Amino acid sequence: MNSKRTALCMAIAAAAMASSVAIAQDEFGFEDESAPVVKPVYDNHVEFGIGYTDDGNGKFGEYTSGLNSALQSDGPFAVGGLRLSGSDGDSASAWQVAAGMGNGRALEAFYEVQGNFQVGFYGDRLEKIEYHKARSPYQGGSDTLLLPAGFQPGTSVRDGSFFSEENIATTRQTFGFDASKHVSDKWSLSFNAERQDKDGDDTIGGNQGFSGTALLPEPIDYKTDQLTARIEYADKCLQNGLELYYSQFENGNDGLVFDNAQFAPINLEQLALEPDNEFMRVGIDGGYSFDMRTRLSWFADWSRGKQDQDFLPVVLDQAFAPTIDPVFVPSSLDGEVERSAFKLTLVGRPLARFDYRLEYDYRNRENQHDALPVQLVGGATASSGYSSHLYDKETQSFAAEGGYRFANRFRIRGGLELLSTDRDTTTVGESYTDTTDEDRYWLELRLPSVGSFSAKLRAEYNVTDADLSDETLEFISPGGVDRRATPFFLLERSQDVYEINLDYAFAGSVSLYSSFKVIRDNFDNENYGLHDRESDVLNFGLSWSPSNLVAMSAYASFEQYELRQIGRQMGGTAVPYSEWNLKTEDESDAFGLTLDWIVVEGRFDVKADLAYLESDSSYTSSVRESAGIALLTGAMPDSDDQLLRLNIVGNYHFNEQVDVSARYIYESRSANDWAWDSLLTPGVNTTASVVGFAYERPDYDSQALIMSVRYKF
Amino acid sequence: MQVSTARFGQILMLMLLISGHVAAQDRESLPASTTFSTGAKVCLECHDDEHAAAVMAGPHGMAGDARTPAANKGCESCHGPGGEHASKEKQFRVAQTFASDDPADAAVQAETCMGCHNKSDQQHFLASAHSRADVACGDCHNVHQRDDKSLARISQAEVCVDCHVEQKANMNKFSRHPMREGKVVCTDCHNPHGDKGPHMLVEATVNETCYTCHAEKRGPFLFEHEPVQDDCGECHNPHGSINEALLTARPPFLCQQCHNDTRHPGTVYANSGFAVSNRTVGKGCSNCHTNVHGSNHPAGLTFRR
Repeated sequence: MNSKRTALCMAIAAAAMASSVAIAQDEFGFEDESAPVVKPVYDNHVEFGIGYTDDGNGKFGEYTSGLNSALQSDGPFAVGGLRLSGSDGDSASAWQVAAGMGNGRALEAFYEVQGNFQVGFYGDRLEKIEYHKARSPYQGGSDTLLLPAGFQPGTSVRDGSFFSEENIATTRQTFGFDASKHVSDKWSLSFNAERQDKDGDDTIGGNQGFSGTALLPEPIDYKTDQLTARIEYADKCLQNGLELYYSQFENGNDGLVFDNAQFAPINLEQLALEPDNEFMRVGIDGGYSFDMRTRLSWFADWSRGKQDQDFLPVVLDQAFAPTIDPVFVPSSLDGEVERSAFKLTLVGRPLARFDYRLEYDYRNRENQHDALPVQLVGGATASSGYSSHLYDKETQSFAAEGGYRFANRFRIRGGLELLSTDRDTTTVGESYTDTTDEDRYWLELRLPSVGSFSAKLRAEYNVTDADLSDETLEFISPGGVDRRATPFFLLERSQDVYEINLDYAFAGSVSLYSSFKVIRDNFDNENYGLHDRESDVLNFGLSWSPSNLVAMSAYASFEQYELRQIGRQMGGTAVPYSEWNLKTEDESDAFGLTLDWIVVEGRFDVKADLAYLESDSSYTSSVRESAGIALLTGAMPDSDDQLLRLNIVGNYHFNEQVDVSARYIYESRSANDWAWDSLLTPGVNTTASVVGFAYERPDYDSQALIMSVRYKF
Repeated sequence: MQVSTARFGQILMLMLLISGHVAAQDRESLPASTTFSTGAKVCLECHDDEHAAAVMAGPHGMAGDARTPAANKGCESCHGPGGEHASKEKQFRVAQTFASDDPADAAVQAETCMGCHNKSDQQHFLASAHSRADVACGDCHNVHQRDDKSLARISQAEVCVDCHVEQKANMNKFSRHPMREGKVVCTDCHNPHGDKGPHMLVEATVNETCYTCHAEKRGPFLFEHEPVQDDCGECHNPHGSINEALLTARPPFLCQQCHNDTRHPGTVYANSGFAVSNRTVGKGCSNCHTNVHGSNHPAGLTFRR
């Protein structure tokens, strides 16, 4: 069957070429117009080699992968890979099997007859170091965490003799299967199935009373299965796809039970881990092209998420508050959430120089289950209980934009977007809606090109109006007293965005660019919480190709973020403490240099990549208004981080079959963070007494050398 | 002397700009070929470099697939009529070169590609932000190479950050997705041809995009945290952050943008000071309020269970 199809394709192609040749010969007299002979292409190679690192585990970034996967251990390690790939133009077939030498995945294999079908498989493994050489009195790997014998609640959380070291790390493995089939020239089917497994240990907070907590090694045992099936119709004008998606998540641990390390006698505590859930979605998306310059696109879908895992026993430690009466609690949530979406877009270019876009967008998320009442032990009255909150959200937006192109690439574009969001909150016996309306206007100018110099300017203005419910206002300011912060996504605000981009190509071999973007958020906030937010990002870049053998590029990036917020500490008796201002400044500077150099053409090339990053976070707190109990003052520590990374790869091309490569990696990192450093050191950070976890931010110099031989066959 | 040097530089710059401008105009002034020749071989007689020939080893060179240029008009399938261009060399131009100096704007260039690539992931391109920003197909794809950098996971980000320069720094930040390693790539979350969601996301919402890998956060939970259901981006910057867990600000300050409840130090100095606050070190507020993404525990109202 395949050979017949191939022969038919070749006959059609040959006929098409022959007819065209005849025309061409008449007019231009070319003697031989047949297509060039294309032989099957093979790209097969195997690679093997050795490497050595002087300081492995947890270095070279928090992720390890590919050739780096062996860098988890100090000392020597082996590397290797295999790739078998090729294509045959006559039969339109292509294939690939790659292990360790794929395009980023650990294992890849596919076979296709282009225009007919494709089947493929992929697998991947990704390891992530969450906390390297962390120390904890709790030992991970289980959903029950006990303290060692002799541990004294409260005091021993800072006694390193009870702590043992382990890497807090997770591994994510992915396996997937792809298949697609062109049923006809207009209809096609595609299918994907994928499983993700995530295992290992992360950290999680284990609350142990109002003033006590401990960071726990959280066992991770996730499985996520996903299926996607799609059927699609496409002709020159109409395209439409119908897609079904199903996903199921399963957590191997329902909850985490742990000893209370803070209060004697030691009691077991418990917290819930993420419950199993499932999700399905069906949707259509497509478009109709009235002509090549006017198109109507659409998208609509409906989805449903479900979660019905049994609730955990309410409380193991009866001395711990809040305890609640299980009698009033259903055995599970029986939760169901529906979401729907619809988008319709019309784009057109009625004039050669003018184009437009009109778009309507609708999104809705709605809980289908009821809010549940929860009653406190010994207080079965409504006033002593509370309710779960359900959050529903509906957004509608309309966008219009147009652009006009003048001569010499001078262009002007502008547009507006009107977005309305209703957020519904439902509790037992109560429901209310908060509405925000956001209007966005923008204008963009691409200035006329002057030689090889171009510039683009953009300005954007957003304004948000909020119409908050009486219930929300009462929550923020109970009894007319400002006590709580307003969630920033419910605040009225104005936002200004300015952006400038400059590009210059110099003498064909050098190009420069720079961009500067400023975002200013001003929140109309009469209460506590976020008031202002600023972001400045400046980028420079340079590319230089002095010859066909050398290409270099460099970049520099300077980012600065500032947040200003206001708060007030409240005492347990509602006696106010002083109000405070807080300014957070995050700065991040990055520099990079890359070199791609063919030292000896066809023989030896070098690639180098150098990156340097530096970040700094500082916090300035001040008394805004003295009242009641005064704020303490003192020097607020900064946190900072520096990273230098160098990666050099040299390839020596021995002959048509053999390449030898050497790779050198150097990484230096130095980080200081008051939130993590010296948690076990009395007098430095006595807060450790309530955290019970030791982790020093990275401070290392590390290097690795890898040499390998690649054989092509 | 200083002034003279500056003036000299200005004149030199002006000359370069003018020469560049004139060079850009040259090609436009050529008339286009109006009649067809056929087959790639004629073209390859002059365009005999490796780059030009490499297209025959890629998907477009699959003559066995009746849809491809190789099975139809060869180079002219994409570049347009080239008969006069071939016979009279540089007196005529082909309709489209797809080079950076091609006077045809991005949308016009896209018409050529979308004549075939008009479905699935590419079908929304004309409505996409890239199309409106004059990004042409050839700005990202090199169809003449067998291994297109933008299609290979390990190299794709290099293409994207050419324009999205701010992400170049983000990719190297201390809290990030494994993009440098090619394990998470731009197209895992974004469809550069335009798609269902905002920001050209592949899924209809930000959250659904995140749930494809982080399904444990999907819920629904007995106790939900409103901003979590609203948009993961309220607290996380998926492109990279100097704060842990891709957070947009460090806890507890991030949490205090919305929360200023009683009995909690509102600032690191408040109440009894920084040194004994279990709300500031480690994971900040989530030292205790662990399940901020939602709790399914009956005692999880404040996400401590």
